[in-house]
Amino acid sequence: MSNEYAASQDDHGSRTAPLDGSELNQIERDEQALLSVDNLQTRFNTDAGVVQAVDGVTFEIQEGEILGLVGESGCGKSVTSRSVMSLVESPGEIHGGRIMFDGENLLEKSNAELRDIRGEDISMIFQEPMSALNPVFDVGWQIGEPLRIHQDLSNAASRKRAVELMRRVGIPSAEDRVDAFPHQFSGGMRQRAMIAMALACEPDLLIADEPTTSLDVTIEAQILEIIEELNERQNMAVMLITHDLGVVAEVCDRVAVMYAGRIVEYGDVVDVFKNPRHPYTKGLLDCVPDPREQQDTFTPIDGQVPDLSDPPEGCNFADRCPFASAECRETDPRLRAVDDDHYSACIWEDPA
Amino acid sequence: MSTHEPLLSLDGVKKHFYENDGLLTRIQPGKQRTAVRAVDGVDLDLTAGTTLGIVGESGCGKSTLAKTVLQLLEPTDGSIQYQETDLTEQSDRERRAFRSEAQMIFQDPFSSLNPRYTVKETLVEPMKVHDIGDSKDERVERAQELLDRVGLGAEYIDRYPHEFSGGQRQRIAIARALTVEPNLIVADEPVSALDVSVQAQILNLLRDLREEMDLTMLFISHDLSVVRQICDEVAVMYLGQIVERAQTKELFENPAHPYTEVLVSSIPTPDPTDTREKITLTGDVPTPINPPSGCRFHTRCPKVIPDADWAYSQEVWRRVLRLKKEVGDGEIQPSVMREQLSKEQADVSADDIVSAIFEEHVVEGGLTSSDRVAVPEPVKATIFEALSLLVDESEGAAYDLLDQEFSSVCESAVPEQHSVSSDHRSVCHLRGDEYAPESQPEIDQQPHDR
Repeated sequence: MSNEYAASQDDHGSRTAPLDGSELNQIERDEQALLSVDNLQTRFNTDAGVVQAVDGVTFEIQEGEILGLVGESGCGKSVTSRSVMSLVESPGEIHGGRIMFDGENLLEKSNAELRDIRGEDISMIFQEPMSALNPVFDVGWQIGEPLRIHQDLSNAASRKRAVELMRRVGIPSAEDRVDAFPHQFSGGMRQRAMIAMALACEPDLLIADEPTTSLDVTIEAQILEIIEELNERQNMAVMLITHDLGVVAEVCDRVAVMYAGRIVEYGDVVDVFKNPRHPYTKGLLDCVPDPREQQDTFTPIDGQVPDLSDPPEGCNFADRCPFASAECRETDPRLRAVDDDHYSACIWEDPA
Repeated sequence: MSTHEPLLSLDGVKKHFYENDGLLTRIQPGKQRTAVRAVDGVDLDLTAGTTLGIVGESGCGKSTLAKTVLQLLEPTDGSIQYQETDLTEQSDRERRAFRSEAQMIFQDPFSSLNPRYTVKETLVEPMKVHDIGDSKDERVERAQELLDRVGLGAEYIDRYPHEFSGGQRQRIAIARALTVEPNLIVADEPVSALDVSVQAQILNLLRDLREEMDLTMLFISHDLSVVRQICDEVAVMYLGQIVERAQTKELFENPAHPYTEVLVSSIPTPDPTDTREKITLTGDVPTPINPPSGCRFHTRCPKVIPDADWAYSQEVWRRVLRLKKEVGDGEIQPSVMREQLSKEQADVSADDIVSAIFEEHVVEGGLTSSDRVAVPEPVKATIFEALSLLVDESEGAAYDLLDQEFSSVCESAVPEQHSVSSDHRSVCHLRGDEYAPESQPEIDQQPHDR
């Protein structure tokens, strides 16, 4: 830490130390991570210009850990998850960074190699279970498909495994419903079928993109319980993408808060929620209604998310930040350690 | 809390939709039209100047209720009294006048604004229809004032909806509702489509406007955290009926219906150190085409009342009842189980099938994720007998045997409304004198812990 920064002190607390080496060096923990994403860049070439949807995202997930990737719509959380699966389609492209999974860079893999990984080592569940399931195949066939592809199971054997998987995710009378079609299932049941399919090959990492957003609160609780239980029992790591801070608080071990294509705060979930350091995280936590008490007023975050085809010069959040100074509009802060295993992308250690 | 007379009161309101309701079905003797009982007997009153929240899961009929209140749907039965008039008996002309008293804000600001109207046209048209303002200029001026009031700024008046974000559009929708100076606002999930930071802005706006203009509000939402912040009172709906109604604080802190308890306990809180016990329901919401008998919640209720002579745990009781329902609905098919077993062993006897069904549907509760329970011998014997009948293809006899041995007042009798305290009412047998928890010590949630 240089003296210049350590010494300066004012209303906003002390300065964070500027980046020394890559972001990943900063946040890396001792053990080797199952997944580590380093400076990921994903952009979309649109008529209106190049939209930098993911702009230097860095995080890691250890074996058996649940990481919550949280942010509002358009912050790039879904694009990040699709980038990890190499599912970004034209006009989108990944044009920088590394995605290391089990020691190998996924961005250097061929399509055939990626197909071996998807569904076997990493699988994904989506928000809209109706559009993610194929309407013309029965559910059992779809749940068994990864087994036929990756483990060469016969049709009969994959169907038998499908029944077991359906039971495991709480689909009642599984041996009957294995022949049903997606339209015969309710929303919660479809999401269970999706989870069963994702679990078929016992992946090391499950990416869940807003898995409970379209579901009712009682069904949401059931699905989250299943995800947590599988995480514990199979030591399966989970990357949970959501806009709901309540869901993150409930199931995640660690959290990465995204804003305008970047991770602005990252760390242990209790630390980040109890002692948020980035003004955006603070603002976001302030606007979430707490069902346990009646609040007199909400403090919304004023203003709009910046246009990512023409991002501002300095900090992306400066325009909406109550603590922004002239310096914030010039320098572009990246993740820095603000506490033990707690990182914030703000020039101040504790602005509020 | 206001002490005015009710502005709006609903009495036994029903709204049924009919499937297969064509002329051809009606003249065929063998065919029947099926009723979807979206709203099935709702009594409710709304005091002037207060906000009443209606909460429930999707498909519980809360949006249908909102539309019925505003006469956008005609109720199948019941009456809706607004001040002195019965809305269900209004002529078209009277109904049009009523629309300047009551306005609606919809969930999706992307489809509820006309894309070909500028903001000015959107706001001026209702004023023209209801004869508010003397001249065009006056109306435009009022539209500008309203835009300022909802925090959008009068300078946006010539723009089209596509130029706005979701939150801004919702502000326009609110301004539109206010153009006719209504008394009553029905807001159907007004913040569900918005991001949380924008949601907070709109909630603040609604709170301010309500106070300023002395609005009465019916606030429909599935999000209990939002309801807690904005409503004075809350009514909980399940399958077309109101099951509990209370002041907001009372309802959240002292819920008196098992369904409300589940809802309140399932809301994720933004606090990772929160250690509240969660009650998880099994199964989905039943269909409103053929709602369960008795108390409609009994098929999912964690506190379903056992027989008077039931000596075992609540959990076993719930599983036995669930088995009975599955048998009654024809959901357990021994032939499928036989096929399944025959893949694993050479010859499958009837007893094997019975044990396998028993294991899956009772001991495991149908789900691997729920805990296994030990079923007491006498109960097990009865279930085996019933399942043997089922394997012998006499489903009716199997169901009758189970029904005779295991039946709950919750399936047979429709619960009445009981007063928990003043202003707090719950429609649950457990709140009546006969089945109050004191006389039924077995009723608890986690019998295994004992």
